[in-house]
Amino acid sequence: MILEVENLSHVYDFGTPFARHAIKNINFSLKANEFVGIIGHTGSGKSTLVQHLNALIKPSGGRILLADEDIHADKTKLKSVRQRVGLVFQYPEHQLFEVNIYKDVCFGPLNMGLEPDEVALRAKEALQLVGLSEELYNKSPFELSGGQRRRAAIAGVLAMHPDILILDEPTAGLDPAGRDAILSQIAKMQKAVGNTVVLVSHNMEEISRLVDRILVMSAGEIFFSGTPAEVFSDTEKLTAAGLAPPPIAILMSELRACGFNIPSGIFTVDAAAEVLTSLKRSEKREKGAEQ
Amino acid sequence: MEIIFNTESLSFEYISHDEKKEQKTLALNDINVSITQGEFVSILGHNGSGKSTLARHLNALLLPTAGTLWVKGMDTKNAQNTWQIRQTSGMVFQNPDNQLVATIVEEDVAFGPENLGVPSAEIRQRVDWALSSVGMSKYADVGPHQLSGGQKQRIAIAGVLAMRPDCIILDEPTAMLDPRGRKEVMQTVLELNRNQGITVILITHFMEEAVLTDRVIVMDAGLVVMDDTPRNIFKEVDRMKKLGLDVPAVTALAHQLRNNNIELPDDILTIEEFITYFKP
Repeated sequence: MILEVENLSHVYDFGTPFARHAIKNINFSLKANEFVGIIGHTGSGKSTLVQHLNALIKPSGGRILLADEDIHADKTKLKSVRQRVGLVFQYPEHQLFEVNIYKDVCFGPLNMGLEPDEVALRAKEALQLVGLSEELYNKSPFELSGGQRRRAAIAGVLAMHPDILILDEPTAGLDPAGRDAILSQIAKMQKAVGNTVVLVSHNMEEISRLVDRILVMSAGEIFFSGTPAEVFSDTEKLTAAGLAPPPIAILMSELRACGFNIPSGIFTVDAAAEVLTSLKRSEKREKGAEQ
Repeated sequence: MEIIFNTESLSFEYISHDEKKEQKTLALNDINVSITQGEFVSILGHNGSGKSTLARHLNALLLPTAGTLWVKGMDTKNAQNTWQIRQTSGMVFQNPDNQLVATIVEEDVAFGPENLGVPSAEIRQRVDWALSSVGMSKYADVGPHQLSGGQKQRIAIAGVLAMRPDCIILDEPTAMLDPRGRKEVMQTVLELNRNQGITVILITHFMEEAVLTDRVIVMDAGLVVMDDTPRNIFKEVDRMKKLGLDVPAVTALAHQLRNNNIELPDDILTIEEFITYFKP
């Protein structure tokens, strides 16, 4: 276990009449090399949860163990916690501030006190991982497209070589092509670097293709969890959690209700096409046999 | 029906400066479209295709560098028309937090008409009507920070409504919302279009939203490349993919099944239609 969360809870505005539980009774752990998705409606506590994981927010109750050590045990170690757990915020491109993207990506490693050679190496490697080519290094963030800017911002976190990379809604506001580009880069990078990645999203399809395991949050708690196949075929529970199940999962469950024999765990276009094709073909064969 | 927007060879070019050179980009290239009062039009296109640039022309935030755009017969290049054009159509943007200005919902909605110098009794009326049109009357006296993203967008829409526009232009209004908020906003906009006859222009990346509109305009590299009903647009699965766009999941599935020689119509858009045709 690289990271363990035990009975984590957080109360905003504690001690005032506005006090409310943002998250409560959260228990889960992350293994090395694992790719985990967190989904949930707005206000379900996703962002509050991930901001705890790199010690940006202090828990009101419970604790977080990073490699068996409570991250809040020693205040002087918080900086190292934040380097080991890299968090890419929502709309990270708003945080680019340097004159060009190369310098921006160098900022993190420089701050870690690394040698200039190592910084350059890491910056180039990170920019390559997110698919930004060398011609763009000297461009101002203002000259890049939204998707490119966002990738530059992600590279800035990657260059710190975090053991755990957390991405909070990395594709919000991007077009389908930009969405696919970012996600396939993230997947490629996860394979190449082998770190642990946590992806927060409310886009079901994108999460389903990438992750090993999904945590579904609702009203500040982990409502249920499982493999993508388990989670996405449970259209009822997803709806109860305020989420829209993937359209294909809904279609499959409705076809099942019409008497079609369709196995569970189908929620992508490709998988559905395969199942429905063989279904129709055997239907045809039976008809042929009857005649 | 009266034509509300009408363009003739509308082009827009901007110049980006570099240390060494100037680079010209043609963001809109010879656009000819007309939109009728009461239509619900969605505009699709990947980032940088010119969607938002076109939308910003519709209420004279940007002016054509060549060609002409008329809003209810008014040329946007004529500065005397600007004020009236901006009252014809209101815009709602992606981020709800950037659009709300007051500390109380009803004050925020009143901001527009106050600025127009509307008498206060009428402001009261307009605010009440606008809030009830978006289903937010209950929240008239709460602070915007206490609302969800979907609710905030509905307040932004109410703020535009209070100006009594003929048209609402929404630039990816649901991009930052969760599925529930997205549904709320789409429902609100659909009702405004159906019940009040307000023209709606919706820029979106969600194909499932475009399915709900009357007409889809697809843009690519500053050009209008397709302009038709959602049904006719989305059956062009391969072409849409080439343009960097998606089609609804059910349409994509039907397309794959057709490629596997399974008989299905090529223009399926919804789950209900799929089931109807799939059943033997």
